[in-house]
Amino acid sequence: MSAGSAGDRELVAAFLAGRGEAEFRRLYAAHAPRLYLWLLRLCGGRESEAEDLMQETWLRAAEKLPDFRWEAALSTWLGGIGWNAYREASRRSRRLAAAPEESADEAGSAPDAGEPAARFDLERAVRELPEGYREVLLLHDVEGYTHEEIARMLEISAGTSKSQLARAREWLRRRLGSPARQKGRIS
Amino acid sequence: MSEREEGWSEMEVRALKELPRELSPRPELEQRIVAALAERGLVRARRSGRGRLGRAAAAVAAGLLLVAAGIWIGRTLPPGRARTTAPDTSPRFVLFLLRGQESDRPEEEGARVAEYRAWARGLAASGRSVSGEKLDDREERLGADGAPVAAAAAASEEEIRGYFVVSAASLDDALAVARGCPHLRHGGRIVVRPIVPT
Repeated sequence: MSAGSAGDRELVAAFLAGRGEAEFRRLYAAHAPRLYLWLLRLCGGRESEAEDLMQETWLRAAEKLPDFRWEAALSTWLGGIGWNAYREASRRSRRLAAAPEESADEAGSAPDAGEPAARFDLERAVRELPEGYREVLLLHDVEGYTHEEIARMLEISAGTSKSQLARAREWLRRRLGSPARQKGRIS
Repeated sequence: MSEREEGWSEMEVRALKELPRELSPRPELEQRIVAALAERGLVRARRSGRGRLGRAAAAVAAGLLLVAAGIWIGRTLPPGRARTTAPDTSPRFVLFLLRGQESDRPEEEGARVAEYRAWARGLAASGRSVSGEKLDDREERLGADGAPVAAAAAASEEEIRGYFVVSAASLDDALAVARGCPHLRHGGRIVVRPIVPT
């Protein structure tokens, strides 16, 4: 998530001064696009779920904002709240019933590169990743979290995070038919 | 992170990092979230800059509104944001403003009407379509046969003094809008009814 800024501090201060609707809308406008895409990806592209999470995230954020200490960027903080909301919703819906390790066999269901659907549509492919894989890949490769941070967030070991990432990438390669498989990798 | 230890190609790493970082959600979602926040008291509904004046007037005696003919919104204010040029197809709701604490001091009316107008303009500026009219306090009722019918004794309590038509994402959203209407601060009550598209 992007770094915080003086602009963020001003937006938050203006909002907290009176909790005005206009001030909230300015804060929302500044952060909603990034937060929404983050949640949409976590939800595998399911818009209604992402919208529910957006609402829950902003409700929690508006409540906790007076206690925000700016030890992280505001966008990171919002993303973390969104992440927690997502995890709680996932637990409720039992979509995370299987531990990441147990979902490894899902990689076997990834289509071969030769299938028509396996075009280079990375965004869609990421959304279609099996859930345990998608989380790790999004957190690590898209959002830049370390394996140690991911381990804490997912309550798994750092080693598991690494292995899940490797499987996620392999799944993506198979899904996309990435030419990188033939051109070789950095090793 | 170390890309090498992950065995990921430079191209693949770059492709992932170059994924879009932002996607604007539907405008309706913003309205929904604002309504949810307002419902929980985490956001104060939009209020015009004359709210203080309006509150003062109410404290002095009882704000007056809609007693005599005068300026009202009187026309539709288009959504104020340039974020869309498409027609506003959001559901619409009527906010019936029922009699509140009235005052017969004409000097207060101008401020109060301006307060209501500013509130409506604020709604329009936030992307809603808004229209409204003030109603004169004269009232005649007709029966099915066209003959005059006497008003019920308690009718004054339900007297409609004006109305707004606003776009809102849902009934909850419309209620959130209504809660921000200065009419409530002047002792009035508001009935919110969805408009059925025909």
